[in-house]
Amino acid sequence: MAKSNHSPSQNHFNHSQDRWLRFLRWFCPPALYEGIEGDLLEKFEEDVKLLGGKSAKRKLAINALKFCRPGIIFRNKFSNHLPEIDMLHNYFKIALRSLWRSKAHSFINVFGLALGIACCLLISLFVRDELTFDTFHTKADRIYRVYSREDWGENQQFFNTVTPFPMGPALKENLPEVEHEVRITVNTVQVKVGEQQFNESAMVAGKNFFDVFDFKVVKGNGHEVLLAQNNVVLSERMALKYFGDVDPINKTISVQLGETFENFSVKAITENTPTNSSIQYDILISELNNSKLFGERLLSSWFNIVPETYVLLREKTDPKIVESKFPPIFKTAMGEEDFTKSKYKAGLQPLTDIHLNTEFPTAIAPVSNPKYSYILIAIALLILIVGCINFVTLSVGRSLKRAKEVGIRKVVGALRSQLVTQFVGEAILITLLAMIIGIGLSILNLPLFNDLAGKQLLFSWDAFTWLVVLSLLIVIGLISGSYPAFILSGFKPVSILKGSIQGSTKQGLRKVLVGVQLMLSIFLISSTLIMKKQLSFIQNKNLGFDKEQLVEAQIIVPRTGRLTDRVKAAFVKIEQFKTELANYPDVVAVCGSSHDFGNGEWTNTGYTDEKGIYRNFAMNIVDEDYLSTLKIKLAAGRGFLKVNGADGRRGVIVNEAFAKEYGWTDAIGKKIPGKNFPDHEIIGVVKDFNFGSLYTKVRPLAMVENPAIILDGIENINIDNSPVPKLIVRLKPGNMNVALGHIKDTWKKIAGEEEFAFSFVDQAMAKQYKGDQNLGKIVNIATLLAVLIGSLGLYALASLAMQNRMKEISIRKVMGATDNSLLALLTKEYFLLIALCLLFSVPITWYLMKNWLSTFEYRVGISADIFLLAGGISLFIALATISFQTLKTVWTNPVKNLKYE
Amino acid sequence: MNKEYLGEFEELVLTMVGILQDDAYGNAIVNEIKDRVGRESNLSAVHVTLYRLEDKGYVKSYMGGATNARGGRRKRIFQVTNAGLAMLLARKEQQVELWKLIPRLNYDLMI
Repeated sequence: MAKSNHSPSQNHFNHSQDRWLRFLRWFCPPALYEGIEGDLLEKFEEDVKLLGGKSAKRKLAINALKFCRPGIIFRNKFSNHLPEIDMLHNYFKIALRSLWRSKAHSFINVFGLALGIACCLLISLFVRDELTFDTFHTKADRIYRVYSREDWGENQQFFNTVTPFPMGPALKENLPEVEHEVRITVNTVQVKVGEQQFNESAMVAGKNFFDVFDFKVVKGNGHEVLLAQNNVVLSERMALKYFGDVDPINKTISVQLGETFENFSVKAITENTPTNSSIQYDILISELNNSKLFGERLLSSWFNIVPETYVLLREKTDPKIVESKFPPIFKTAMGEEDFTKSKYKAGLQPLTDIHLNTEFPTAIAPVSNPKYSYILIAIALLILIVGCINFVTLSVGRSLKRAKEVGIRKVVGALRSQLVTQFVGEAILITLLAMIIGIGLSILNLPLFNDLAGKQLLFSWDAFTWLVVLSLLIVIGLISGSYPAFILSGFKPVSILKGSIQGSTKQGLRKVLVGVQLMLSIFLISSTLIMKKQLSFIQNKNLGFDKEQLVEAQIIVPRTGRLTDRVKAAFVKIEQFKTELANYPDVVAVCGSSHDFGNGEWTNTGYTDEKGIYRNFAMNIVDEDYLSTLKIKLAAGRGFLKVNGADGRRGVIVNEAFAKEYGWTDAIGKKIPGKNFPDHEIIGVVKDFNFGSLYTKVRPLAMVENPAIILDGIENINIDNSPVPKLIVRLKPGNMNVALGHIKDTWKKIAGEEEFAFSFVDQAMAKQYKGDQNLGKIVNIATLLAVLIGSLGLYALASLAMQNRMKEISIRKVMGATDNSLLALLTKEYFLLIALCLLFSVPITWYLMKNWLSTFEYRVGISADIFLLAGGISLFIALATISFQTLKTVWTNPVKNLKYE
Repeated sequence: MNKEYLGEFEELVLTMVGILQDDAYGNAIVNEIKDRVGRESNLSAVHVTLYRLEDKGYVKSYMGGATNARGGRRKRIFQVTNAGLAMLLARKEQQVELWKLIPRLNYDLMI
């Protein structure tokens, strides 16, 4: 019978679209809705006439919102007015009263739980970021990265997730299942914007990049940008850096790919790549530029691997079937002989598998160890458990105080299930309180956590956060509430009301719980101590060279010609620096070196020696001042001499590990035993120095001034980092800033407008251990929190125990017990408890820490003193906590506790 | 919950329902209150009060017919029940009784 004929006067307002009315419809019981909405609309029509459309609309919103009140929302929700509603009222009141009555205990409960919850929330954000890596691409399930395996016989197995350049096109042309292929390389380039010049890394990608990956294009058209060679895509932050607030579209930047700068036109801006993306870029250009970046041979060879190749398979394609079609393609592409010899195999790794799979070698996409997530989850749970245990022990301990209430309720007719509901509900209420505080704490501490975890996480109220919050609420409430509820509801009313229940029940279980807390504390304390020891060991270990006071800067040379020419050009520039910097007394020494410290692997080479054994060694191209500048010590022979021209041409300096690999006692005058190496001679042996991180052993190393000696003789080369030399300068301690200013001036003189990007060697080296340093800090914080919560709980528990033993102690005192004997009596049991916990925690700590330490090649041992110290610390904390309560009890006048009335 | 109790605003709304008869619905009551006593009241407050009165059994409601105004939405019309009427009467008598007990007014009335 309801007809809706809209009058023309109100056509400008479409009420079914109004979000406030939609909100009203959402919470309002359907039976009431029509009447209320009608009234609102009528009021609105009146207001339109009176006040005009705009403020009428605002009034409508306010009026609609005002309906959001319990009288409306809950109407008709409980169709029968059950007595339980009244009981709930009562439970709520009693819960608040008992919370309020014992403020200290409530505070300890809420505070402990809140800290645990805050840790859980933060870590859930972290874990989500790790687990959702790359899943934001809509076609993520169809995107794969190509990997390859080669097997050339003994010691020459290669497993790579970077591929040869011809791989992508070969797969696309021969397989109809491959919808698109995208090859990706990341290159260091010089970028000029106006007068300014920057040292940047640019991603070079195939033209279908935006058809495969979903990076949100904010301005411009992403899909067509990469079809033209001279187009460039910038991320929002890069656009801001270059152009500020000006609209960047169609602006020009110059990028140096080959010898000269070339103009690129900005055609699209994309959102900054999400933190949980394997593909990270700020500048993106088309692979049509590849010919300027890479040589002809590199682009066509099947055994030079450079780009990551991603393929997008068509829908409903089984990657296994696609993989099975690979061999014939490679056979034709690379020739039968090479294919058989290399036992070439390739496969597809799902995009979403890349981030957490440590079995595949790392290429451009970062890989993180899932262990890190597990450790963090474990830490969060530990803190939460400590908080929950506090809750359980305190509620059970306080149960006597509420025994009367339980008795009365039972007599009046409460069912056991009702009592359980009451106490579990109370627990959930406390958890809710803790939750609110915990959420606040986690939001406050998110920046700190981001810093430690190396992420840029944000706190947002999405479905995931709600899920975590609600499940924490229910799980914690049930776990910590159900045991006390079970104990409390189990009291027999008669014995309670007669007053025959004495002392605390279930002392045993509480001791076990406190024991678990202590064990966790000892475990965390000893882990912190061990980690501290290892981390300071890393900081202070003698690396075989002096890393302090060293500054380094990448020399910039045009990207043209062969790599060896570029290396040579850079050394020429370094010579200029040497002459110029020699004028300053603050500069102690200057040298050039292909590789620096803390920035990844040095060039690795491989060859088959005269006996047919495949050998690996690292190589570095240096100048004659290298050893003296870094203060590397010689074990035998001499360094390169400038006066001796032959050194530069044919001299090789190796490290002790190199000599050891070949079993040489005296390496001087020897040659590297491969048949293709040109004329050369080992002129010096240096003591081993850690040119890699302390996670790995010092590998055999050969240093040369003339790279041809090595390059002509090897069969394989693996260049992870640009071998274009770096300028390394040792400064005099003290006037750091003045000296840096000198270098900067010199840089301007020699390199002109090129960006002077320098770093300190010791800082760069420390960065390698950032992950573990941060883990150390996180464990440190966790330990503090756990110990704090644990001792608060212990404090509260001790005070309860003392209350129960008040009379006993008073009588003992009256009978002549001394303060000391009483103290000994009361604390004795805790000694025993701590000793027992120490015993249990040692194997766990030992096992886990052994595991962590084993990631370092150079590490400290785990010794007994650490556990004794950890035990001592926890004993001290525990006793300090307990003795406060104990002394208070012991020192009170016994009369006070013994007299009636 | 004491069902005999009637709040000040509840009484006002109940009276208005009585006055408006067949046209007693939320918005009309708001306007009526404004016209008769010059008091600004909130639509949601009036609605909640009406439902509370319904719970107490002093009013009953039904859906009226649709009109062209108010987006074609029907009105929820309220009617005073017998209990409601009795309550209003009782309140009125109560007040008159109380009035009489104020001495000066008594005096004024007698003159």
